[in-house]
Amino acid sequence: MLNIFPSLMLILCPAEDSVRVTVVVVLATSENDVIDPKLADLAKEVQKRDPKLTGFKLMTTEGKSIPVGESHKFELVEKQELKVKVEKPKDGNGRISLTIKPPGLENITYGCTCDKFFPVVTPHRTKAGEVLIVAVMAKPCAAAKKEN
Amino acid sequence: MNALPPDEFSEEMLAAYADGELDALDRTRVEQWLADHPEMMDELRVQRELSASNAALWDAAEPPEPNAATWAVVRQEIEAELCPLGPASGDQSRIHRVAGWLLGSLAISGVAAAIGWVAFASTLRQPAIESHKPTEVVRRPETGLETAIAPAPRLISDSPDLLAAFAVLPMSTDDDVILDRVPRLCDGCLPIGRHPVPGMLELASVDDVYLEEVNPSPAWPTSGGPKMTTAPGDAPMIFAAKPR
Repeated sequence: MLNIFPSLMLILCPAEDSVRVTVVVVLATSENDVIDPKLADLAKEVQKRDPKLTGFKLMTTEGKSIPVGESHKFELVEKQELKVKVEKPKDGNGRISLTIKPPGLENITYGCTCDKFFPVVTPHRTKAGEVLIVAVMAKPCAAAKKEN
Repeated sequence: MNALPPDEFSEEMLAAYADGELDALDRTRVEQWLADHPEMMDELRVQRELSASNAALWDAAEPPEPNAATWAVVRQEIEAELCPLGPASGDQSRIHRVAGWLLGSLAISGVAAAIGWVAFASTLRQPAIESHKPTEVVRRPETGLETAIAPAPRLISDSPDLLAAFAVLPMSTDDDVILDRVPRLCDGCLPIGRHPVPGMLELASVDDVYLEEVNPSPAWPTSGGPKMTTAPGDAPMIFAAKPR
């Protein structure tokens, strides 16, 4: 009975807070050195780990408001998906907790300051040999309010 | 031919005899019949005069051709029948023909106009009929705000121009639009709406990220989770790219 109570509370009192999660899809390659201006910082950090990746192309940007406790699958490239679950809204340290499941990796739960991107260089390679990179950001930074 | 009894010899049979087209038996029968009927000898003579053997004679003959005087008499008789008051001159007959054509044309035009009137009269009368329909008037309750608030523009669904109600198209603002998914495109392709990432990606610092839980994966070292940084000052990230 005690185990049922939290679930019942979730059904009867759905969470009002939603977190807007933004996912940027990037393809990196060693075939060229063209870097999208928006990805300059990301390219510099990735090249610290792999200097051979010289070209960085921004493919898509998608934002989705996800209620706390729920998840959403973001479409990437070549039918790959990134599953994002909002674990907790902004805490006392200003971090929003997310669990992500990138292609080729297992679940990763982390907290990140709002409005900052957390990159993941995945093991997935496209048919053209490009490295799939996702960068995840969550907000709002202000106090959570109900969206219309 | 042999089946015919002798009493039923026709003029055709007699003509064939006169033309020499019968065989010996029929010829004998006809001759016997003529012997019994001598009054038919005159008919036989006529048939022989009309015989095909006289074709050359017939071809040489010419039909009688009326002369000019005969034709003039016939013409006067025809005109007298058509115009009982007296023979008309050539100019008068021409005038009569022109008048006839004019009257005929006027009659045809009149018929065409009548058909046109019948065809279009119903469409011309339609608005008049509708204008006499009673108009239902619905009065709004007076609120006292009618003079202060202009009537909202109303879209008329049956209007051919759906934008007729707008003097200027109302445009949304950046705040009205949320771009959920933006493909890779050039700057300025979207005149309204803010790009989800308007500027350069601002990466989180070490202080911004706290790794809470990582499920085991062959992508990380056996000692634990992924190595987030390689040197002090690096922005943290999960780097799991396969070596080429």
